[in-house]
Amino acid sequence: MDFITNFFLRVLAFSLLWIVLVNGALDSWVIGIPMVIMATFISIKLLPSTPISFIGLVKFIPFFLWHSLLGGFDVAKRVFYAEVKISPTMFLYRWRLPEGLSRVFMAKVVSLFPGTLAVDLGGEYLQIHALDDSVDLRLELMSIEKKVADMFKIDISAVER
Amino acid sequence: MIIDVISAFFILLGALFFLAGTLGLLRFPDVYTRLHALTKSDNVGLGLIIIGLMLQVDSWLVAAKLLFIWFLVLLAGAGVAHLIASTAQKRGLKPWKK
Repeated sequence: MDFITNFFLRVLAFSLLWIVLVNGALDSWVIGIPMVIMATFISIKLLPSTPISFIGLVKFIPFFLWHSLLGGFDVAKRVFYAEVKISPTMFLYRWRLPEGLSRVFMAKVVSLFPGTLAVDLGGEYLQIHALDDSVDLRLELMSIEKKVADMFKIDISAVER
Repeated sequence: MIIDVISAFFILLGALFFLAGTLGLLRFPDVYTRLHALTKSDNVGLGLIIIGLMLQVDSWLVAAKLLFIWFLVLLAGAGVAHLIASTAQKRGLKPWKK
């Protein structure tokens, strides 16, 4: 995406956000316009444009909502028992995603999914704290990672592991 | 009327998840397991409460604002959980073992 398109898409997004924040009050644009422009420049500086696959994103949202719902149920199930049902473990998973936003994104997602919490994501490995050591964490993380990679238009199939 | 009932249902269900998160905070044995409980169930609890509230609003602007609040809490919750977990580990806190 070239700079101009990128710039105007961000202006559009921040303008929409401003409208939502002020409930569409027209006179607020006196402050809104400078704010939108500032936010656009800061966001370009802090988060340069990342290729995102639209189809990947559309597929990811229901996947995420469903699994984070399961994450909540999973906790509820464990705490309402008379005896707390957990057998925690630490688990190291070797990244296939490259360094950067996609890794941070996946770590956040994993922390909301059932039974997994991202502890450390620097370096070669993603370190996970898991509530249940009887599940195949590696397989689970691989499938999440694949979906994240699709969304960020990254090909991880060739990465050796 | 029916809307009110559905909306109340979602809000109460959401409250139940907050209860689960709080119970987890009290009952789980160490910082890592407690983080699991808080982040995951509070995220679902807030999501359900937001759905319940969205059924009550009469402008899409307010609905969008509610959704945006949920999104921000989601980001903050997951991020803070990770920061606390990694700090705990750097300080040498060992995870509880069965």
